[in-house]
Amino acid sequence: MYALHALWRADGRLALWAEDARAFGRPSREAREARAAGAAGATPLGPTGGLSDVPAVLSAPGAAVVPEAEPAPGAAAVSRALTASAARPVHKGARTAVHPYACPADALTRLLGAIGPGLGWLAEQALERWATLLLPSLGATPAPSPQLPVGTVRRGVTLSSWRIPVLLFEAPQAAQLLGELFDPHCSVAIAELPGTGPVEVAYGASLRWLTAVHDLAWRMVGQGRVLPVLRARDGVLRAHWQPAPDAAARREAEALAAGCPPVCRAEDRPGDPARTGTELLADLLDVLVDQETRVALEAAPPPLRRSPATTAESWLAALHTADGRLAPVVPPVPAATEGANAARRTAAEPAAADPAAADLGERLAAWQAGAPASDRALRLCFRLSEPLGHDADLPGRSDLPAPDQPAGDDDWRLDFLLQPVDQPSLLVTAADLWSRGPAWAALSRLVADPVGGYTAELDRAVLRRPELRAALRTSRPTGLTLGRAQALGFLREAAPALTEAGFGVLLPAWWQRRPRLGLVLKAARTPVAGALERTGRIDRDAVVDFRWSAAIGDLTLTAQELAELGAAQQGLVRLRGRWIEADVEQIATALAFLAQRGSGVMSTTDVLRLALDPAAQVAGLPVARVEAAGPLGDLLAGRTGGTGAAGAPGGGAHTPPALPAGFGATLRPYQERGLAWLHSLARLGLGAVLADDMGLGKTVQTLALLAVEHTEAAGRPSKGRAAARANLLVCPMSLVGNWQREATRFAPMLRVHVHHGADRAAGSVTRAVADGADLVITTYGLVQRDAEELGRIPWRRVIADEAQFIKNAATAQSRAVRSLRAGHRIALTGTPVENRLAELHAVLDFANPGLFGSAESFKERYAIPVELNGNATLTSRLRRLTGPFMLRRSKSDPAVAAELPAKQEITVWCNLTAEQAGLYRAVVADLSRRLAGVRGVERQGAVLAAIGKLKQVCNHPSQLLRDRSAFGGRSGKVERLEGILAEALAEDGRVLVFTQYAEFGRMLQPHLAARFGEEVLYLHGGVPKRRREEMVARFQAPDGPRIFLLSLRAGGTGLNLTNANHVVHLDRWWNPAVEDQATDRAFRIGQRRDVQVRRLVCVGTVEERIAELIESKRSLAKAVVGEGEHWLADLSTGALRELVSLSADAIGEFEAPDDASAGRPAVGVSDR
Amino acid sequence: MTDAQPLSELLDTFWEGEFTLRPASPDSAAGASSDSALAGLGPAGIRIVGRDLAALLAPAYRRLTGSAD
Repeated sequence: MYALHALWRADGRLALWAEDARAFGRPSREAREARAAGAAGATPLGPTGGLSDVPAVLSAPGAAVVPEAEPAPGAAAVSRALTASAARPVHKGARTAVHPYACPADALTRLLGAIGPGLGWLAEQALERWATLLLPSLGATPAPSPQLPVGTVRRGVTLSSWRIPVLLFEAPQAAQLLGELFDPHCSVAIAELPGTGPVEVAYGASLRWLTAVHDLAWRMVGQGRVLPVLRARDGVLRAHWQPAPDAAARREAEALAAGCPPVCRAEDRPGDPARTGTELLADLLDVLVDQETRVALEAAPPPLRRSPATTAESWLAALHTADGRLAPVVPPVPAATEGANAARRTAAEPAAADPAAADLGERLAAWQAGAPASDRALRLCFRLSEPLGHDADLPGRSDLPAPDQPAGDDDWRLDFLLQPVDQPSLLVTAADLWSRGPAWAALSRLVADPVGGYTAELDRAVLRRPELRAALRTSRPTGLTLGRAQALGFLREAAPALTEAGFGVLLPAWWQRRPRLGLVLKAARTPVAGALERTGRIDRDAVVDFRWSAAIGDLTLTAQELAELGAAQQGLVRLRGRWIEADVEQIATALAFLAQRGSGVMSTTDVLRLALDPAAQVAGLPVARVEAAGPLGDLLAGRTGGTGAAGAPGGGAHTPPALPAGFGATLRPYQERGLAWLHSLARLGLGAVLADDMGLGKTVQTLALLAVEHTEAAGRPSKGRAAARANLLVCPMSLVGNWQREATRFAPMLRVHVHHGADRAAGSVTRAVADGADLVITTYGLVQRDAEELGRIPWRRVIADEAQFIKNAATAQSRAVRSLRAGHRIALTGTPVENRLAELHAVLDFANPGLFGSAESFKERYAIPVELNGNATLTSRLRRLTGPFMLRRSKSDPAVAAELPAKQEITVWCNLTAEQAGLYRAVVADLSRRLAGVRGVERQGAVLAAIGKLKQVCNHPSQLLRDRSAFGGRSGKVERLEGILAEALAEDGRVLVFTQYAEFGRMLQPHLAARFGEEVLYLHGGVPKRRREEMVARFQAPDGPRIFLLSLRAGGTGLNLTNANHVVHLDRWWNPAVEDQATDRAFRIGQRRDVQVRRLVCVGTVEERIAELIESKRSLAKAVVGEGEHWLADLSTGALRELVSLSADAIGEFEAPDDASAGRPAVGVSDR
Repeated sequence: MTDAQPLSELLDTFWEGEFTLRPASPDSAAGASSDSALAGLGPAGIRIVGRDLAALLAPAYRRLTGSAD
């Protein structure tokens, strides 16, 4: 009589063993010898391996005490080996007692063969080996199983370890054997042993349980409840069929796990606890399902008809092979490169590290986990909790546990929770679910089968993240305990994948905002002996001492902490009570950087650059923050009352300085904010770029700054040598007059010197500055021509108006302006330079030289990604980088729009060209001659004719001369008009341009059309009614022409042109009412935007004088001026001469920007 | 939970299990009436030799379940 038992070993093989009733209670010769040896002084023999100082030789017939790896020999060989081994010394811990009545392996093979030929054949495939089992034992003898008819021992038994000869079956044979032995009706077989006759072989519960599990696996395969996956084990990739149980199979598996005979769990693995029934079942099903699927597919045609060319193809093919191992990939080889192909991956390569395999595995998992069913009632949630208990911290700290990290820090808890889909506020832990407590009851009221829903979701989650399979090793999974590395893996990889698959994931709050390792720069100005330091100002050229340190978030690390972090080699570390994710490579980088470049000196500009660039990196590490003392520190910390590194420029927090009493304008609130911003940066010595929209008053804000500083300087006692106090304003020639007029109007306290014109005297600027000039106005051209003189003067400030004129840093003009010595710089520009990043860099670099790096690096870093690729992140980063130094408000900004009048009227001052001035003088001289001796109507006619001619000259020489020569570059007014149009169009504005001269309009129309490359409408008296209506309709259409030129007579009344938001009056009618009527074509009911109205006036000409006259006598204007210009003829000759004479400042020398090819306006506008 | 109980506490039932071997019957198969695991999944979105994986696997599942091929 034999009792047949089975064991599913942890190594994935089936061990079959048997008890032999005949050997029970029959001591062997070897046992007797061993007892004799014990009596002679050796440790008494016991059944366990713990008593192994002497050979454990209690032996079954044929059994020997040998290491498990050795083959289990047959009876005769065992006897010989036993005799020899009894004479040899045995090392401690190497031996365990042999089961005394276990059937020898060879006998077991014969026994199986005697039951049936199929079993005999399988037994011959098996290896004869040893297994070690924990069995109930009584004294020195294992207790027999109930299947052995020798009586049952119940009392006094304890567990002891026994070595047992076994037949060891690999998975394919194991599956076949279990299938053969499955018999739901009978648990005893008859073996016909040669020479012995029939012998009963009773199947023990362990064997029958294993056959039951196999039967479940076989049925699952037959139902197609399997899924193909990619597994990596021992560096080898395998295609694997894993179980995919439905609800019924899951219930059956749970029942089998719960009913697992303890003997099935009895494999003795020192250091490892006994496996649970659930673990055993999971392992077994996993192997048997894969095996039976392969058997079922043996005869199926292969899915590929050629050698696999990709990892995915190799995997697909391996699903049909016997061992599932992925074959080496043979990529398709183009004929041209066939000989040179070296891409073939061989089996020797670390296939598991194959990125294609990782990708395939991820995609398979995502596919099989699938999207949650649309009708699912429950959602599975995962909640990761940090270890509780002590305040374990960074290893190595004196007040903390040892550097190897306390065990408690590896006790991360991943809890499973359930959540009704339609009531997400109810979160029930899986533990509550299994305990069937109140939470389960609440869930049951909402969902029909909470446990079924839970297990289905968990199965889905395991498909998505196989590492969760460990939770299925208990019959009632509630969660997992994770080590630190596993917790990090969950945080980094599993959590996003589970979230994507529709599961809930609750992570510690710190992970959501986990700080990164970065570097902190501390800079301090080292006072130089004997040198005076200007308090309150940032000297960009100064050199400061610096020291780098590492930081994680807002925690600056000590050198010791960083070293300990590096030594810990952990991904998750608790630092000062806070968990952080430590990147070992980055820590090593930081350590190396600090050791080699941790301190030194650098320029203040470099410090600023690092502080301002939110993406700044040093040695591949992000610059977390920059700390400094003094005004630099105030700036970086936002304590300046100005911008701060992260502050919003021009924000409401600035306190505007008080304007001096004599200032000739009241600033609007946004202009006050602009002034405060300019003032704040100026006090820090930092350059500013004021880039407000056209018409918002850049000129008045700049003049306000100069006026404020003028007053401040007057209030300060003089200290030794006077500091530079003259400001140099550089602008296009066409704007000189405007600056001059506006300075006189708004800041009369400033002493202004205009340096321009052919008759300018050498050394005049030097003399003016020496005489106390506050503001010198000159042109870009003259800065280049008079570079020597202008470059000698230490300017308090250089202001570059229309700063896009110096956008090309390589031109001589640009170099000349940039080389000027200045304590402070301001760039003014009305073009939206933020959209033209090369120009933006040029302008920023003028204001703060070097602070934004080279043009090339700026282009590479920002211009290409932003302009070409529209990179939103970099756009935002660029905005943060430049924000503190650039202020741009648009008319559409709500805060600005609210402060602007609906109709804004602006006088635009223009200069004459030399040609215009010559003609102008000629007309005046002619008039003087004509007036001599004439009176009455004749005099009146001469005056009016002359004034008309002068106005034509102010418009354009061609209008007077009626010539057909080139139009461009001959009129200051036209140049200004082009500038206005360019900026208005850049802001997507629509412009009405009025002139009282139809012939001038005819000249202008083709010129403007060519200049801007778009259609320009022109309405004059000769346009038929239908055509006129068509023009109006087109202009009013959203995509219609953007420039509408009109003669005042034809277009000044009756039209509705509310699509326009800019109105330009090219020449003066002298009657405000007429101009207002024309303006009202745009500014009327239906207009939804603010309207800017500009009147172009040539400085120093009759236009300016009459404008002043009208302005000064506005109350009388209507009465005096009437409907026309006839009143002028009544002026006295002296008054008339004064009226028409030409001032010296009327003439300009026109110049082009330094890059005229860029298609920008030749002249910008000055009316801000 | 006996399947996780220490073996030392299970000496009385060490050789016994609570399970039933089911006679072979079409109806007794686990999930006999359920669809194959493949049927519950949509297209894989993984293309191998130009075809979706789900389509490539379909013949294998038909063979497993004994469906008409």
